[in-house]
Amino acid sequence: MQARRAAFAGPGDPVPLDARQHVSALYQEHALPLVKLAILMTGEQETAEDVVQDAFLALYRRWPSLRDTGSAVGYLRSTVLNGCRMIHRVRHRRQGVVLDPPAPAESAEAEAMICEAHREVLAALRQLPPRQREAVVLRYHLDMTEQQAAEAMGVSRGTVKSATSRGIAALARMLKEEEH
Amino acid sequence: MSVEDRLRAAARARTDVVTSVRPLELPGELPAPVRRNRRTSRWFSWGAPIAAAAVVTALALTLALLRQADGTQPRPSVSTSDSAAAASIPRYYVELAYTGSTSSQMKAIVGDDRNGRLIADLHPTASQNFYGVTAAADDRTFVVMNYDNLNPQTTWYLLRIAPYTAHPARLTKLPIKPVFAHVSGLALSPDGRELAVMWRTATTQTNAVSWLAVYSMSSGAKLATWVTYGDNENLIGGPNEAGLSWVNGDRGLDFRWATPPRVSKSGKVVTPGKLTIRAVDVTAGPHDLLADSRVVMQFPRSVTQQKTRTFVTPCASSLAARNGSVVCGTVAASWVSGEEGCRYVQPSFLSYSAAAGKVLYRYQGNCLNGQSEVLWTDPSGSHAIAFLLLAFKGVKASAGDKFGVVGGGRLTPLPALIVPSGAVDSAGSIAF
Repeated sequence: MQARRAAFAGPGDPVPLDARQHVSALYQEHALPLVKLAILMTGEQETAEDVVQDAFLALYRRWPSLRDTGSAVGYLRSTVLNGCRMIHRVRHRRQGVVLDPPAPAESAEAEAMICEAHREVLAALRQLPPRQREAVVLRYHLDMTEQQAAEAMGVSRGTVKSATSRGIAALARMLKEEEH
Repeated sequence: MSVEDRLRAAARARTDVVTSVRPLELPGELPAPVRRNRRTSRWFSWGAPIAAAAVVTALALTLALLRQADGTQPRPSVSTSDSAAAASIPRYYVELAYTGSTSSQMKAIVGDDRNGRLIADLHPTASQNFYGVTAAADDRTFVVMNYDNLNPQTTWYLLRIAPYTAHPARLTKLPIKPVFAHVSGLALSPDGRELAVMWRTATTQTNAVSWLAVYSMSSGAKLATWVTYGDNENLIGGPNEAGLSWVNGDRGLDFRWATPPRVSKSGKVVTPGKLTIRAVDVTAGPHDLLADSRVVMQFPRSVTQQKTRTFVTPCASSLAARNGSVVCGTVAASWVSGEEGCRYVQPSFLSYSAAAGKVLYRYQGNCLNGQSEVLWTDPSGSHAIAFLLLAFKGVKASAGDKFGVVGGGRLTPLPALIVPSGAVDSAGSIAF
């Protein structure tokens, strides 16, 4: 038994247990809200889970060089938002060659449980430019202050203010058009 | 309602649907830190290949000169049957272990049994719990069984591993309908296309219903189902207590079926309990589990020796090899507390074909009792990966752990196998 345990700490330098434990503990606590945030940004649960997994993997890789482990949640949120922007860019590029791109697919369960009115809002949200979408989701879904949203998005407070304002105006316009 | 309120309500409605996320997949090792020294990296970009080429050339020249000098061809190293068997055992494995000393939650690790490296450490989310694993024959494909505590049901994840890459492990939820019962048999077909699952539902001691189902890995569709009514003792144990195994070119399944002894009202045993190994043809029609399967082997549940006050369970754990032979692990002990049962009966691993039994390994030595678990077998049933748990008088039980390849009368240890604290080490809790 001891010989086998010794092999565990042998050549290859396994990751220190505290990094693994810390990141795993963070995952247990924060993965679900981050996936929910990513779902609102990307519209797809599977993509959202991929983005969140990648964010935690990036945090895990960076853990030994992380100066302030207390800022890990903020780092994760920014990484998730970056990941969602990347997804948007890839889709945008693909749209150049795909004539009729399929709408982002909701799961069957989500389809069944979300009423038509909510679906319209979510569809409109997906049509916003990424920065406006981030701003309105952070402000009105996560109830962040302008300052907190600015830190998460990596922009100034003024940018958040204007992006939120434009986003809400665009949503109101799209939803009004739907009603007519 | 304002746009902001509509946005809040819609976002909440969309996200409330999501109650769980798939487990985190972390690689076993961090990449080496990147050196940012410009001069060094430039040298490495072209200097290192040239240096490596020079070393290889020099080595080749030396070997050629040596060969000419003594006039003989270099002899290949003699490979013994054991080393050949060791070379053919799967390199990568998935093992389940409790996440902490006081935790009832189980995680999965992916390891390399050649060098002891941890490839990935898969932690389920708070409400999830891994409790079974099975492997295909390609050494890369596994299925992990998950129990959701919040929404009590068993679901399955495909685990594909790509060792020593940026993403060494990837879990994908399989589209198989959840099962609301205790699963006691789990076997992924060697080609990785079908998953066999055995489970039992019961609300009282006498109304048990046992199920065996084969699912398509690609679509999740149930391809075949067998069912039988009545008690079966061994279907209440570990994740592959039933020893479910694919045989006969993925056309058949073998499983253990134990019937309890019939006891009269006065307490006298009318019919002794028995253990059978049964085989079912998965390509045949529907589907009564006992009527459509045949007994290929039968063992007594336990053999006692009054004179030495010992007992042996001849086939306490088993797996069938792809050619149909059955590898059994025995339990041997004394029923008298503190008496060394191994003086009279030895725990062992045996391979049975229809014709005869062959001892793969028998422990020789004193011990209080010994328990043998078969974890994997080669296609011919001549070698197996096994776990032998020996208890010694006055010594903690873990001191007697023996993990290794059994065959040819020997147990060859697998020293690089990682056994994390809290590992379960039974069939269905570790897969190769």
